[in-house]
Amino acid sequence: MRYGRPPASAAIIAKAAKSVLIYRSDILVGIVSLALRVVLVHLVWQALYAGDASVAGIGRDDAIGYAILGAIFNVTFQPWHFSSLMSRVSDGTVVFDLIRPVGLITLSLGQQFGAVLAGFPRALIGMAVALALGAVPPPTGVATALAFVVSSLLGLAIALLCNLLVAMTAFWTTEIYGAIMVYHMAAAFCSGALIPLWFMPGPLATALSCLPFSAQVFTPLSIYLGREPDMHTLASIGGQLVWVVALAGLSRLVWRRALLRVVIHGG
Amino acid sequence: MAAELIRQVKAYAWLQRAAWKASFAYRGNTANTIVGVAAVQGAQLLFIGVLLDRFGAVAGWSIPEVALLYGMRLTAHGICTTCFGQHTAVAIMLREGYYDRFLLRPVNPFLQVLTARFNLGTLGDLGLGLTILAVAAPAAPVRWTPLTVSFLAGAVLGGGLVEAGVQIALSGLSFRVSMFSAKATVSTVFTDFGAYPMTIFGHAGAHALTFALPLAFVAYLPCTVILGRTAELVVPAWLAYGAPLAGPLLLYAGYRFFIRQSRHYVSTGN
Amino acid sequence: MRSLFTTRRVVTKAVDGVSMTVGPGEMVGYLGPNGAGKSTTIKMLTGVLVPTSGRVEVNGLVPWRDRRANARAIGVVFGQRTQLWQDLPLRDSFELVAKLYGMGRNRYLSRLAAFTDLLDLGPFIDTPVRSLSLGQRMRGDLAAAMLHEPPLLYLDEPTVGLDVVAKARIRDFIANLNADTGTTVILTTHDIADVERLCRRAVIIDEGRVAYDGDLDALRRRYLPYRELAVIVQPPLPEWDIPGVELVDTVAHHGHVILNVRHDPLMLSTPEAIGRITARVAVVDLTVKEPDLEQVIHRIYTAR
Repeated sequence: MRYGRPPASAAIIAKAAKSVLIYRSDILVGIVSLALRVVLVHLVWQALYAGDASVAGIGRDDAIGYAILGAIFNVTFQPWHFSSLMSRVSDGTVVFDLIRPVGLITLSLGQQFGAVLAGFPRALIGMAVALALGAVPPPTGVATALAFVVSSLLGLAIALLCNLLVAMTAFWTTEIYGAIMVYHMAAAFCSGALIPLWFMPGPLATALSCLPFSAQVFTPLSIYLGREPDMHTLASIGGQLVWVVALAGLSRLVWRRALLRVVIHGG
Repeated sequence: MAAELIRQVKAYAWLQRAAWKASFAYRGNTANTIVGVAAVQGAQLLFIGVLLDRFGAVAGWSIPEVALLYGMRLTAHGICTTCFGQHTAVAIMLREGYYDRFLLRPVNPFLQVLTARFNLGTLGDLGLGLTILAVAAPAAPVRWTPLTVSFLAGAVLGGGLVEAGVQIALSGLSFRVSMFSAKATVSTVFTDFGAYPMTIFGHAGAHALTFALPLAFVAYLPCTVILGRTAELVVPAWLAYGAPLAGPLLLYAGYRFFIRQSRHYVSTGN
Repeated sequence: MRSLFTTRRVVTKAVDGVSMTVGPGEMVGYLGPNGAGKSTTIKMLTGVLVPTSGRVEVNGLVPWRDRRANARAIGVVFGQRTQLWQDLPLRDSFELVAKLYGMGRNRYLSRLAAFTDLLDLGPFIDTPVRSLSLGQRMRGDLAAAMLHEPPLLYLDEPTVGLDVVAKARIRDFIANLNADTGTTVILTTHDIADVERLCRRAVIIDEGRVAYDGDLDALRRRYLPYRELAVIVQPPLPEWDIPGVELVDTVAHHGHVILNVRHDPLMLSTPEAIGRITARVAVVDLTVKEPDLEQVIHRIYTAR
């Protein structure tokens, strides 16, 4: 695995972001859509709580705030727009990527990151709507906000690496459409983007917290909604770091194997 | 005019049969697609399941009532995707230049778009929807008579046509602009918010989801009729009784819009 | 943010002022460099594209307005893109076409038998289209386009990418079709041999305008006014002084000398020119060079 020089990577990221932004009407619709989603999720969870102050030990405000942040994270960090690596492997154009002076992993991660970056303005607008509605409380302090940002970026890194790993299965089989759907839905559900892990039955919640998905969304959101950061927060961020290192190592391994496959099957 | 209509309906049947046959050409992919669709609906089911398990009732609707609503919505969605699902591919067909060949045949190009492929995965939507209906219907507090059963059948059919009409209109916009996000938005709103009693969205929200985006017609409005809950409606009750009729009307409107937009078609170079 | 709401649009005229009339039973070669507007013209004629202005009429129909009626009266083959059902056996495509065009069962079966024979479809008619070779696929496409017996056939680069044998087969089929049933054929191609084999008339367009419309022979005469001969003689080189025959150059060749000469066929017929040459020099061998159409086309393209 080679990592491209910074200028090359920056160019790839910028290009990917631009190619998403080029569909302007689409962007506008995307913004409106997320804002609408924030409002609807707010209404649904208000209705779910009805008069209750707390369900399953979780307070109303926390649950609503979580659901909305989860929706924003889901749209921004777990987009349908997947790594182009897959289609390029299946139609064979990946050979052109291999002869470029930038590593393919860098290329793929850069493209994904660019696409996510293009979704940031939308996420910020969604966040603003949520804060204005009072649906999401402002962070409890500067330290909380800081820890949230760090944890979110780590969550994003984990999401991108997971995507990359799934995309690399294209080197082994072209019929991965179903697998992608399963992965996407599993990621949305297991990361806690749809429902906080708090509400899930005990054993399920424990199992899910052991997977890398919860580190994508559940961890940063818990930090946001938690009190002042403490040792527990640091431990969570540390856990995310471990995931980043482990997944990066794993994708390096898989990539080596994939490259071998390309060489063997060459032509 | 009638002869022409019959000819087009026949053409639809022939083309759909060919698409159905072709869909078995890739067995691996077929199994894969079914697994994928099951995952999407399964996640949705888990979501609703966990919610109902934790919260018991939603806006005064008991678990079997919400389950019936959910089953109606999913079945309607299945009808929409099995019969009309391919319209979403029109953007790709336009980009890749496949649309040209539809204009060379003496068959309505819209029908050819619908029958270009058959996505076996959509049967997953329909199957799961029907299963949930079969489980929820006996559990729901409804005295089933031939009348209510046929109303239910009409409602899910009509609901499927409502969703199809809206989506087809949006697909029609693909002839002029890329509408990927818009379509994705509408379909997730249909999927994620179609199975709640609309009262939770408030007075304005319920109106918006009835008239601006006709989501309420898909399942909620007819479901209130079946459950005898029309009193909670913020819109006139006759709208709920007439909801199954909204389907054909909206489908026709969506189709007309699609055809109008298709006049903006500009063929790609080669 | 402002640019979010504006779209730029550049209008390029693909076809501008192309005017031509094709009579029944004609076979017309429609030529032009890439991007000249060939495909655009074909798309307007078939009803796929709506012209922004001007008039297109096919058998009394306006193609884009009476699209379905027009579709019944034409057959179209695009060399670059198949119109068959890729995932189904070739036969299924024929069956579907027959149904969609409202053909009776008997008529369909007899047409299919005839085509299976003419195009030798038998060996692969039950193979999925996706697995066919390009040549087989083209034969399938041709049969599907002509199954409903349209009086008019559009061919957009029907031989592109085919090998020599496959090309010949396609050309023979088209020639027979025209000879037997009087099918009108409009053919676009980059392969001049297609046109030379099939067409008497050529229309050449360039940058959306008609650069030439007329007889192929007249085209050759106009752009290649001289007929060229290669005369091989024993050295030493004779003094060249033959009225009406001009010496262009001389080339040494394996102990002989090749004299490239030319004459204007309007002033002096080729047999007469040969007679004059053989009367004056000791000729070892002599060949008449065919006027190269490719060269003609090239000259028209570059002469703009």
